[in-house]
Amino acid sequence: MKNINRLIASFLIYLLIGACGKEDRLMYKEAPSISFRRDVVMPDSINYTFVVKPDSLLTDTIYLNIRISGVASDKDRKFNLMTGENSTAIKGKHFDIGETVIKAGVYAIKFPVYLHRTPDMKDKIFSIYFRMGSSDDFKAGFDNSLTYQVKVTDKLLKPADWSDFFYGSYSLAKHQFMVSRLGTTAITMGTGAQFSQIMSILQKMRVELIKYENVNGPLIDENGNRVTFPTI
Amino acid sequence: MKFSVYNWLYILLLVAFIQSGCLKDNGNKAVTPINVLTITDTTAVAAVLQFDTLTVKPDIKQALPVDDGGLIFEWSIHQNDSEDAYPVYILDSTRYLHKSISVKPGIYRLIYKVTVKASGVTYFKFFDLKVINRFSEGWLVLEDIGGKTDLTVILKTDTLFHHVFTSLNKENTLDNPVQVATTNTYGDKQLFLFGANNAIELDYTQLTKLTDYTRWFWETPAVFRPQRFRQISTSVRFIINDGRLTARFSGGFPGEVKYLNTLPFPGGKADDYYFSSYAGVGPQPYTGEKTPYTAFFFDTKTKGFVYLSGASLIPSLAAFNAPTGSSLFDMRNIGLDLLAMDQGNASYLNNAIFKDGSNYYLYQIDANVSDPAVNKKLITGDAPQLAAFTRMTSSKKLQQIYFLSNGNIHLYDILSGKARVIQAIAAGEEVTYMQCTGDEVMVGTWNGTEGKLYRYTISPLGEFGGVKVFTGFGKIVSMNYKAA
Repeated sequence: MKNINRLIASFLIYLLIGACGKEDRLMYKEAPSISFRRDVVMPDSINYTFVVKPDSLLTDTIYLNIRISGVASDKDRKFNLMTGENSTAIKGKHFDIGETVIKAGVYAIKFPVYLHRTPDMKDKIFSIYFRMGSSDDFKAGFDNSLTYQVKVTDKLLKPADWSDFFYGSYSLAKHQFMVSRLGTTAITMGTGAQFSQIMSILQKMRVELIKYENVNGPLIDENGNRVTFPTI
Repeated sequence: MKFSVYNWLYILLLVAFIQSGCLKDNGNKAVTPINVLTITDTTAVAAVLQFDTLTVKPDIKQALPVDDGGLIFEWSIHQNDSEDAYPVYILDSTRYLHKSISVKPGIYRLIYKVTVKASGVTYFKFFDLKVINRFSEGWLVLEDIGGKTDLTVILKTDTLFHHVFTSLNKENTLDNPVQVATTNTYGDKQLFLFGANNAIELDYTQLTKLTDYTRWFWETPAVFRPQRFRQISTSVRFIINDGRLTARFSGGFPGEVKYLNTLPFPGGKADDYYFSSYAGVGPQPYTGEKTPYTAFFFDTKTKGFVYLSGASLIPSLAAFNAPTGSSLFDMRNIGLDLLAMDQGNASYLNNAIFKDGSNYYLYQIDANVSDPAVNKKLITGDAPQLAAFTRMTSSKKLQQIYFLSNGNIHLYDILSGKARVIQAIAAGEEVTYMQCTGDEVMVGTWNGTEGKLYRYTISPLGEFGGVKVFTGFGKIVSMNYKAA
């Protein structure tokens, strides 16, 4: 009987010691997936305008943030970036994209989209609806991070809160003149300028318009009116 | 009872355990007496003015007395009014503390650390200490010391503190100082130092650098050469920068407020103008005053004045009206070189000195009347000695002007047109600053190695009365009274 007890005790000790074995690492075992990277500073769309760029710039590059789920691979892997049917921009004319490859050892990339400045952008806004699809190497990732919209144009739209009080009556010629001199489309509070900044913009426009007129004569807008800025 | 092999093995194991408890105790419980210190103090104060000398003489009782050579002392201080980790400043390594406290105002912990060399044991004594801002009010004197900026503060008690800027801003310098200025915008007080190509804001209380001019503009000027800064109302201030006017308007609207781009010159000249560094000030809008001339400036290109109109949402530069038949001169076209201008004996009256060949004229401009050209007078007719003047400042109480000419300060009486010497500048001293403040005339001099400040009181007749002389400055270039 005593020997049985000893055997039971020895067995229990063996079990306890066995519990001290090294645990295998918990690894991601799902199939690799890919999606657009989103956070507060990386939204789901971008609006691009050539208006604030020099006339000589015919192509510019924007970047989409893309990342994978799962471990990095030791070989290059292809992903499937599609453009949606609602897109109005034409690939090869209005835009091109970079090579759809995740290089070996890489988790996240900035994917280049090449935007081409075309004459029809002067009066139209073109949209590209990107959608991440599945490929042989990646399945489509998180549902809410599979799309990305790009709007590209070479035209100015009248800000909704344009005030005649500050800048006088609106015309496209005046708007283009302002943006070309300021290098930004933020000229009203609705487009990102602050009140004091609007005061500053007005001073600059009054100076710049005189300088322009001294060289070129009056600036005439699309309605046949001379562009002026008020003194308020 | 028969013992099996297992029983013997268990007994053997038990004996081994018991014997292991009988190992020799290597612990050292012998007590070696050490020099235990007891630090007490009755001399420390709870608060000290910034830059005052703090003296603390703690009493140290030693269990095994040794002389001071057997002890290591250290005094240090660190700010103690936040959870943030503040740096610890080592003050001294003496038994007693007798040191100027130059840290910025705040709540601090003073630490006295004594280490017994023989044992290496350290004892501490902590003191709560409040460092109080001592520069809340007084004259700020901006100095040029070898091309670098420094600041002296003269308290209301006439106590001087030199090298305040460099003491409190060891990481920051400002080359070629031009002007020190303070502002008060709806109770928000600010302090600025302007250099030849730079400008910084100092914390109004602590006098430490906050920002530089690149943060003040919506569009930083390509060339920054500040000639004159001035606040003309709670909501309006301007900088004449490289001859052009840039202004900052605040109050009543949302968002951040910064300096605007250059204001255009009236008459379609855009930014084709160059203002002198003198600016006259008129009444501010919405105060029931008579004119829109909130400030006026002299353009060295057109040799005429324009004014800053405040009668609009965004003040702008505007042309004065054409002269009438009774006008003494045309504000738009003086046609002469402006040598100096200063506020006279009324709020909006300004005395401007112009040169026409060998003749020097006084133009009096009252910005509070619609035709501001109120007086024109040939100075050098009865006072030819003033032709050599290098500085001027107007009395703020009488129709008088103080001119510095040929090493003497002359008092020029506007009504009589006569001038007389009232003060000789000490031999070997060059005047670098002269300004009438109302009751006093401040005269800064430089003898090549040291700057001096003479504060002359003014008698009811405009003569100089007593004088206080302050020494130990660099080259004085600007002064400003800092209100509490």
